[in-house]
Amino acid sequence: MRRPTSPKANRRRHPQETVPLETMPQETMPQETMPQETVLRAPRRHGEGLLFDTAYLEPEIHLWIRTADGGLLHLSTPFHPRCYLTGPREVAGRAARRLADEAIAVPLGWTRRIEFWSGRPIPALALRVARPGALVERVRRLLRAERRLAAYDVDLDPALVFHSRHGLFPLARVAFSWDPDGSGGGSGDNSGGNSTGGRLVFIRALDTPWDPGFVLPPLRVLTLRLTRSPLIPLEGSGPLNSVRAESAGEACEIDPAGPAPGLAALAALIERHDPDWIDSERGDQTIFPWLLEAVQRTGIELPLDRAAPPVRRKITRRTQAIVVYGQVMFKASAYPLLGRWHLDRANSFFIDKAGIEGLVELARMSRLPIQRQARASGGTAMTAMEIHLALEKGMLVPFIKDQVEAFRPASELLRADKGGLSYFPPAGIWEGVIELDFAQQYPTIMAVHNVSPETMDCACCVGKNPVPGVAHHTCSRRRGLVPEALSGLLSKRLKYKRLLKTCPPGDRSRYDARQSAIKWTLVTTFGYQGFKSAKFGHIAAHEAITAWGRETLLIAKEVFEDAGYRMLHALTDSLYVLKPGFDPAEVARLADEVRSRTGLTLGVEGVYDWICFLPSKVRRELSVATRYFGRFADGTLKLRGLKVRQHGTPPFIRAFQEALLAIMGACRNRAELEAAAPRLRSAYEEAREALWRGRVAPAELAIAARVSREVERYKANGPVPVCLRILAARGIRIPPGQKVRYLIVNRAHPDPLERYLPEPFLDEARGYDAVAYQAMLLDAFKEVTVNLERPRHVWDGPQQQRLL
Amino acid sequence: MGKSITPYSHVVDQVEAAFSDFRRALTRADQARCDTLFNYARRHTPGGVLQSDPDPFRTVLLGMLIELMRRLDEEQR
Repeated sequence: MRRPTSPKANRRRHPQETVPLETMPQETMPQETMPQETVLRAPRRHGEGLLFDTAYLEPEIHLWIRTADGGLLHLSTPFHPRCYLTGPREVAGRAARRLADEAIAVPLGWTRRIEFWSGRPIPALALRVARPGALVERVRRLLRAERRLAAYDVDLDPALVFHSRHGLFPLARVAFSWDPDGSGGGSGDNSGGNSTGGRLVFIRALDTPWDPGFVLPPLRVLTLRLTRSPLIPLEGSGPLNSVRAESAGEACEIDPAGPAPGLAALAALIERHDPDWIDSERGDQTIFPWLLEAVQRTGIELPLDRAAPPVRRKITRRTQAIVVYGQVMFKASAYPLLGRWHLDRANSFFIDKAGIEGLVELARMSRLPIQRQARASGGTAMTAMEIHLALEKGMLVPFIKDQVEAFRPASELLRADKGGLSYFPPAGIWEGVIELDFAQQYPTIMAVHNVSPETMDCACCVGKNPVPGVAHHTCSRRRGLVPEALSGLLSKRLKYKRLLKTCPPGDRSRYDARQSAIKWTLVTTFGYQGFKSAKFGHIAAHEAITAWGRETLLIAKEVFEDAGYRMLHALTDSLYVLKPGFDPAEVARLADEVRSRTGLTLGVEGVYDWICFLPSKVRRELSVATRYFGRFADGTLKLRGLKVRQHGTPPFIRAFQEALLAIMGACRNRAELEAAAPRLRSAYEEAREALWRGRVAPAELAIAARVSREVERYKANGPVPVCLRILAARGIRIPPGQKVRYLIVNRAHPDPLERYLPEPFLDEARGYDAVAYQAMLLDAFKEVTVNLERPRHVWDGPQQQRLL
Repeated sequence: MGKSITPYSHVVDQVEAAFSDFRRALTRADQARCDTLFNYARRHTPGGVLQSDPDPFRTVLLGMLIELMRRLDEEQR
């Protein structure tokens, strides 16, 4: 295993030294009794292994450790997280007595903890939480009744707190001791034949999550899939779906009409192969609820959990529609397993974006259990990292966000909240354009300028570190929590980027997945600052970040314009400039100058042989900022906002536009593009002919659209409501946030129900609406050829002949 | 996210809407010129955003003038 990390990086995050369970180093209170008070019946044992899974089942934390011989050891220990109350002594004392009376938490005594906003220690009443599940609601009621009370560390994930307290993280290499005979949870259920069970006495990590050389251990996988379209239900009166399981070449299928034999086969498969990971698609939403109900009905035991105490699962199909950036997204309820991972590809942002390698990377950084991180967002990962840092510093983690924006005059509000800068490029074809991008602009700004909620507008640095153009400043005396967490991520991503350049080809995909998972996390950190329920977010921080973003982009523009470059386009963190016969060395020198003036790395994304900026479809005199495409000098194409990149576009239209772009991509300059115009035209004629002759399969013409509400709440006769009605009549419901795919059968049909045909019934189609699809085909054609057919540039630039 | 002010393109729309009576009185040909002028203003979104003038008509007007200057320069070339 390579260890390319510098020793410095490893020293920064050395695994915590020996911390006995149930104690915290920051506190001065008398130490609690450790759990080894039980009479030992067998000698204590010690071991090393990989921390495979962590789960908190009140009142115990359960760990599953993979030992060197490949076995899985299940250990448990009672775990009581801490929470804190602050306020006048009698007020906090009264609240603590309430919690004690209800056996939710036991007061331990007054201590001093660091307050998040001021960074100063304040007196806080510590409590030992017996029932974390009941705590949140109870504390919320107490806070509502008593304004002088504040509560901290209340709603933290117990598994995260346990990890943080002992320096642990998923798949950490750990050294541990345990008492085999202790009453360690449920050691009885022994599905894999490799659990001894026992009580954990001591554990510590032997490596750090910052080591990029980490290698994922081999995992035994069982895949669980629906055999037909996921829209076809597993129960009901119509045609039914079924479930197929596969592991190491062996497979079985569960038929919903008579599930017993299939379930028995699946149970046998799990027993025999003992998978580490159940890799499902739609497991959370569809397969698991149905599977568990079938288990109840048939009485067949399915050993889903591994070496774990028996748990009762609430079966729910409840789905949640959440709004992300104005779009209704879909979130299924979760079915995590114990001692075995269940990861649903359809319910996991990070598996989708960066695969298992990326997910594991992120879970190690966030210290959240794998199955929890799989279903969480980048924002959750960031918050978890910030919570870990806060706990490490003995800082109180705020429960209810009690900060408010300070009053500002309306004119100041106008100046502050402006977002990123976005120009309108002159539409047309341009040759020799250089694209320059700020690498990770917003996260770097937060790290460089110490932008964090608690460092914004501090009392100690008034007049220093002003944010350009807005009335904010940042603290120069203490490092913010957010920048500290970000710096770690940024530097680790940099390590992977460097490794990508030097590693053997076999390791490339692994490092690439990991750096991409970090990238996706970084991307979400900024948006989180303005999010009203972010634990460590603040609207002033959000404004400061965009203000620095505008400032850095303007500096870059000025540096290049001063050197005689013409700025064609700029968009938040990227700049498009032009200078005939430019010198690459000069560009590198100017980029360096921008870095020294802004602290941000400005990299050359590439030089375009040609780039097409597109005119607006609504106002032909204007161009659009976010739709363009071009060919880099190395022959690769860069596409932004085109039909091929949009999710709803039918495969046929997408393939057609890809074919056009392939033709254009082979052209090295404007003259060749112009010469290619007849070939583009004939590609269009060919596609149109195929369409009219009925040679296109319905599935190739399916349009995808997102459902934004329940079927009853749609009023109009648009394609989505019509499809939902057709599906509902056939017993299929699609919850908001999910997509529906449909074929346009005849848009002009008087009966709306005859106009469209949704999946999974596309094969019933006897025809399609060629008129409607030809219009889409023409749109896709014009989108990429518009600059070849227009007589001249929209604003300025040389005259062009009409080509098409 | 965190957007409590109107994007500048909407600001131009609002100014344009506020002058709809004025536009109505224009001849067809002048109406087209008026629309062009507002599109000129839209090209100066970055400046409008950065300035965030409490009276947006001033930045709208300046944007129009700059585009007219550009046209003049191009004619003379």
